[in-house]
Amino acid sequence: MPQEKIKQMQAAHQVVYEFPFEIKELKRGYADRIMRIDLDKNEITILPVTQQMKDLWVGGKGFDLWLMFREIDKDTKWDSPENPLCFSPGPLGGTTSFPGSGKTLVTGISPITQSIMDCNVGGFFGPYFKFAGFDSLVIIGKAKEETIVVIDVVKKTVTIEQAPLESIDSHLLAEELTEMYADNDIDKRNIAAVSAGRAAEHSRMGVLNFSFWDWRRKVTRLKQAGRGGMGTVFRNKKLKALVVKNRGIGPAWRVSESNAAKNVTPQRISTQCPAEAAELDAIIEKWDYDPEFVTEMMQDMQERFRHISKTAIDRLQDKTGVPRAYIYHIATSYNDFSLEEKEAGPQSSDSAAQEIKSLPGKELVVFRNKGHLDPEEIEDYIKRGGYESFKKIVAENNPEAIVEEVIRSGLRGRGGGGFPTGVKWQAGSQAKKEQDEVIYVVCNAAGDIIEKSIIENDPHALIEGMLIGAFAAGADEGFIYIRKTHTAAIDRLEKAMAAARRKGLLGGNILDSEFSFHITLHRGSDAFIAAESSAMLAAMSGLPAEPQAKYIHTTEKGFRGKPTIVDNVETWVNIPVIFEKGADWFASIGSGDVSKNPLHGSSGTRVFSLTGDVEKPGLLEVPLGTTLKEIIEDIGGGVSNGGSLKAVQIGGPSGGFVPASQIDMKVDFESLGKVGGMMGSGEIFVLAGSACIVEKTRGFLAYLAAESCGKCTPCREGLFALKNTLQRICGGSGKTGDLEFLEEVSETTAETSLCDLGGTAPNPVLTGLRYFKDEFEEHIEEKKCRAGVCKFNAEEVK
Amino acid sequence: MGATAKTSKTIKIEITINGKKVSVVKDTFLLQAVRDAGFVVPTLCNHKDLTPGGSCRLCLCEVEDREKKQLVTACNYPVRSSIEVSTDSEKVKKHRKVLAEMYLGRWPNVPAIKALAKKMGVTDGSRFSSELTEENRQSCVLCGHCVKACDEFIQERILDFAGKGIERHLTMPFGEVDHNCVGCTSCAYVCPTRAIEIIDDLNGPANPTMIRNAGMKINAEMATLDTVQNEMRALGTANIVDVMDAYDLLPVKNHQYGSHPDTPKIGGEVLKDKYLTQGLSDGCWKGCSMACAKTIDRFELRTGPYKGQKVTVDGPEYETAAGAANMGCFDMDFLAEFNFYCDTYGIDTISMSTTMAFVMECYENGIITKEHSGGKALNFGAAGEVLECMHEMALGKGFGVDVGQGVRWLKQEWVKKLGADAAFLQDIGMEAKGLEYSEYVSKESLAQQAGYTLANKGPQHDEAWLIFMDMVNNQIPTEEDKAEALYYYPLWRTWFGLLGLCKIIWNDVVPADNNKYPPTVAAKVPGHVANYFKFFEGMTGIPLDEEKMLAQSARVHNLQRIMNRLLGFGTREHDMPPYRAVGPVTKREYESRAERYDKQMKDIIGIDPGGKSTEEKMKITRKYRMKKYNDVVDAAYSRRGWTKDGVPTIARLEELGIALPELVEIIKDDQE
Repeated sequence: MPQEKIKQMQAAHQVVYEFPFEIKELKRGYADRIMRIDLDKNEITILPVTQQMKDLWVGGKGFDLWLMFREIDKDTKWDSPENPLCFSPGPLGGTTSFPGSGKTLVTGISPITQSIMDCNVGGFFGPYFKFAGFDSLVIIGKAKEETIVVIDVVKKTVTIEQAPLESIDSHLLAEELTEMYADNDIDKRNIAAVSAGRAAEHSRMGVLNFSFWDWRRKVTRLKQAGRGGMGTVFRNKKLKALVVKNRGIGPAWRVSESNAAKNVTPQRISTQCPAEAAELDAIIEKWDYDPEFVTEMMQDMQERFRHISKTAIDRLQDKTGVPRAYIYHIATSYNDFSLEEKEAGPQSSDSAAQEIKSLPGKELVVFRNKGHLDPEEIEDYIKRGGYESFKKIVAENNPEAIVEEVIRSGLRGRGGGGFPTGVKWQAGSQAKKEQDEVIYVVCNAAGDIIEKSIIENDPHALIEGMLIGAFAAGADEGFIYIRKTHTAAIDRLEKAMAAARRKGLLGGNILDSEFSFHITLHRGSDAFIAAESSAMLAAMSGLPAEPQAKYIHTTEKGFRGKPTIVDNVETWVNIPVIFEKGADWFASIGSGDVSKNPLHGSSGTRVFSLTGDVEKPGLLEVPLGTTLKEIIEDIGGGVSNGGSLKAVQIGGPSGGFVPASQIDMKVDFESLGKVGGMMGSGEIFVLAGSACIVEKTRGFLAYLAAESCGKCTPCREGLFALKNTLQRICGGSGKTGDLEFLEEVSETTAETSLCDLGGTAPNPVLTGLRYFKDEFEEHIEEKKCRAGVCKFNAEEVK
Repeated sequence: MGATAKTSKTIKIEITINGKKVSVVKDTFLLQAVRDAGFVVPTLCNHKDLTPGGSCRLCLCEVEDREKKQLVTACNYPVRSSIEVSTDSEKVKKHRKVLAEMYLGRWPNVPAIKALAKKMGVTDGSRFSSELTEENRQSCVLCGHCVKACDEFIQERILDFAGKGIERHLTMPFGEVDHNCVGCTSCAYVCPTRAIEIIDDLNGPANPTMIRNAGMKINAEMATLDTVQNEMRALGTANIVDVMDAYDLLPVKNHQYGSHPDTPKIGGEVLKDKYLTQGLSDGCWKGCSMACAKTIDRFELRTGPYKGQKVTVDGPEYETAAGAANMGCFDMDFLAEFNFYCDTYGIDTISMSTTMAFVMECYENGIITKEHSGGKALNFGAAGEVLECMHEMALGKGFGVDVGQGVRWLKQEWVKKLGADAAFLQDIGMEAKGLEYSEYVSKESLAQQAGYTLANKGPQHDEAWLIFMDMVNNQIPTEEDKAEALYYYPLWRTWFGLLGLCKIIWNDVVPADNNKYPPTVAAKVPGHVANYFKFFEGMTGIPLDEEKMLAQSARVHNLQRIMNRLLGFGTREHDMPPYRAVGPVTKREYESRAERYDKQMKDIIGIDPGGKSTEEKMKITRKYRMKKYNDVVDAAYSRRGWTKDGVPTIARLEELGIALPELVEIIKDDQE
């Protein structure tokens, strides 16, 4: 609605009567007064409500009829000036803590029955009028010109105004009046109007439209006092509209103060100027107002303005429909967002591509194309046989056979749990059929260096893997959730997807078949929990990244509540080569025998990231079942500076320690399970003899406690307690009972947490205590750190 | 109404809980099964009316499934196989104790936490105290009930947690009150620690807590029962279009018939899937958890002055959708356009469609022709022509203006000017007292026939919507039941109008155990009536019971009747229906349901229809049905304390305490 037009309309108003009034507080549902408007005399009077009126007629329709009765006689007709239109919200009306309490009762003599008519109607007019301190409104007489009555609770006036220019049709008129009388967008909710349309004056079946502002849809909505021609009477009185403007009636809401909130709630609430708000809007528009990309929008806003302001949160809600509360939750749960302006940190460097090491004579599977092609050239990939597996699959068109082949290969998920990939696909396809639903395939690339390197090296292998999976499952939509800091990988992926689309390998009717498949990228923000698959799916939906129980598998109910297959980058990249060289070939690599049961072995290779006290850190790919010793000594060149080996931590910060004595252990699913370790993210962290295991444990737990989403109690409270206790021990304030406490809390946290973050986070504590208990005891009892790392000064370890 | 509950196939599974074998419906959450089996499992974040969250972890149970043992949270673990469950193994008890100690360390003074800790055997304080320990007795313990209630009770999503890890806390953004909060108080109601304060006090109630406690029972039912009983949230009142069709009660072609094969085209499925916006709070006033005011967003108009524009359509509600059927227009796009223009032009959708249906039947019977209609062929289903009439009405010219005068005016006009058969028009013109009928076929429901005609304002269902309890739920089978219903319900329904309340909340979704009452009592929904009495008392401070409530309404109801009398109406002759509201008017109408009418003739009237012509049978049926109608009106008048001519007796006014001289004056000459 153009502002100018509204201003013109308003300028044309002529106030013919102004009546000042005081707002009256309601008591036990009543204001005990009535407003009577006489349009013949242009006069407003206030009448009292007597106790007898309340006793006999209660209110609402009872009041309306009694007030009518006092105005009419046997000769009053529907179009007599004496015919009163009465409006009463009723003593319970306007209540918000009991549903369905907003009806206004309207009565008058009907043009269609020539007798008494009553209607009830929703909309905000009745309650807003009531909260000005009136039980009923009586309108008699007829105006000479088009008239509106404005009851302004802010100005405390009622005005009778001639209003020649406004529309008569209600959908326009209600919008015009809402715009005209609201101070701003938020104030629109405080305006309510009553109107009738053009046909009401030519028929006997005219309705009254009661408006309310729908802030979500940003339109005025209309509810009707429909029966018996009350709109006809209204127009017969030359009334165009009744308007009420209320003060905001927001409730007094309070939650008890919490210490936990203090570090989160900003000291100063930041708002942004209109010019900046326009930039915020442009960012939202860039992401097509899609609520599933609210996190991406916030990333752009953070980058542009170095914080997420209140204005930003308001605009995001306004334009995407994601509730402010959820946006605020997101803004306070990732490390990369801040509510107050902060200096841009060191540019999160996207580390350069690395060399991939391996054991001599061992074939690279995941990195099969490394050095053989330009990752940005689809032709290079095709020349090396790329997309051949997929083409064959489309030609054969036998989805069940694909799933069978993947099961037979023994491929297990590289993301953490090691669930057999083919079995997962089978479950997804099954669920899709049973539910007669769509299915999605998702690539989890929320991980760190390994995911990123694979994508940078061979983006088409990922796309082909997903194509095969989508074809097998019957999916036509796929998603890749990739950490936003992996800028080079994102760039390569986008280029690769564009190239594949140009080649007809991605998009609609791929290879002229019935099969279509579209991939969408999601840029994930910085939170460890976002790598957890259910939390990742939440993040992809524009919700805070919190995990869900997995008793009902993602394959049955995942993204958008539909069957979803989630695999990580390394898993997907293994798929094309399985079809190129056969499941038997793949199963021949690695350890164990998967021919009978896909869980009885570890087929294929695994990419690891070797870090810590090691001579030659970096990425490596080895067949599963390779020993730790081979990895550390043969590939990593042993402990750095010729030092001794103390322990190895496998699987990221929540991986367990494997002591040096077990260095001959095979790295595969079975052996790791036995020693309390896990494959996890594929990190292998080497600790030299000079490392303090207690301090390392403290460091991991401090990180993990900070990365807990806080949803479930054991993870939130347990990790915090573990961190605090370890911090105390490292600071020299350990005490008897601490170790029992650490063990007890670790067990409960590990066994009762909602997701794998809490489930695995105590691993360093549990394995630390299992293999290096004496060091913990020394710290507590002798205040001694044999590595000389802990200074026993609480300040320094913070 | 609660009658349309869907029955889904249920699969039972045998499971063992603490050695006890029980049978459980597949996909039941384990916590329910455990409780049904008589065992107790501690919970904190679980709430009976909210979806389980599994965040407190206290309801842990040990589950053995195909030799694999695992710990699960019973609240959100669906039973899907023959599991063996242990609810209090040593392991489980040990973990629960640690969890309780965690809670106690953080919130040592919250009564619910202290009680939990004690129960779990934490006797010696907590080792989890830290600088974040909250001393407040009314601390938030992060159970999340409020966040879920905001979403599930009221569909608002104003609240959420913020911060991560140990900094998680409940808030509205920036710790400020959100201006979109509707003040429903659901959050405070479900909070187990009274950490949230909010009071709905704009009306200055005597006892806001009493109101909240009654109101929140309904919010909880809305969250848990609506999807299985009605889908008011998904469809609004239009959810009963299909039900009415199934029971032969949906007006089709001017109330001739009660169902049509094309009804699905304007039915719930199409509305839900293709038209209505879903998942938004849609109350017509703040705090309504039923939120039935649906919309069609960005609907592109195809006719009229706003052609080509994308508009918001408020609705369609049931009456409007049924009105489309009554005009024989089974087309959702038409329905949306009709609804929009009726609203913005200010036309009553009910009067419009009922009048138009009458016009169409007259057109099909040759009573009017194109000559009268301005060239429009007004057969049933003439959707475009209906819209044309409306646009004419808005402009104040053409045949549409005639239509806008309603059925009674048209009848008089056509008898006078065209010499139409007055008796036939009286039979098929669906008006009483001058008001057009709303959209229910009352032929088979004696209660609804009288409910319509006895309504003070005319045949609108809001005073007596008896058709559902009569025909769908079969709750008022005998004639005594019907007469009593014609006394009780108009008064009960009038009561809502005295207080400013919506009636739909009362009996669309009903408590899960409502069927424990005998049918005539169940129809009243006693649990909800009790809520309303508490609501009234909570506001005014005055206790209410059925007797007092009926007296409040009867005073106003009689006042309206007397005011009708003042204006020259309000007697029996004005309570007479057109025959179509009672029985079949035309031969075709009779023959379309001949089996039903013949059977009634044989079984109820006691006349063998064999060998009789349709005309003869129609005559017998009509005589019988009109007698029944008059009998029930007699009974209703008597029960209401009215004369045989339908005028309130002075004795009744005295009984009600409203024998005011100015009222007595109006009716004194009508006394018997």
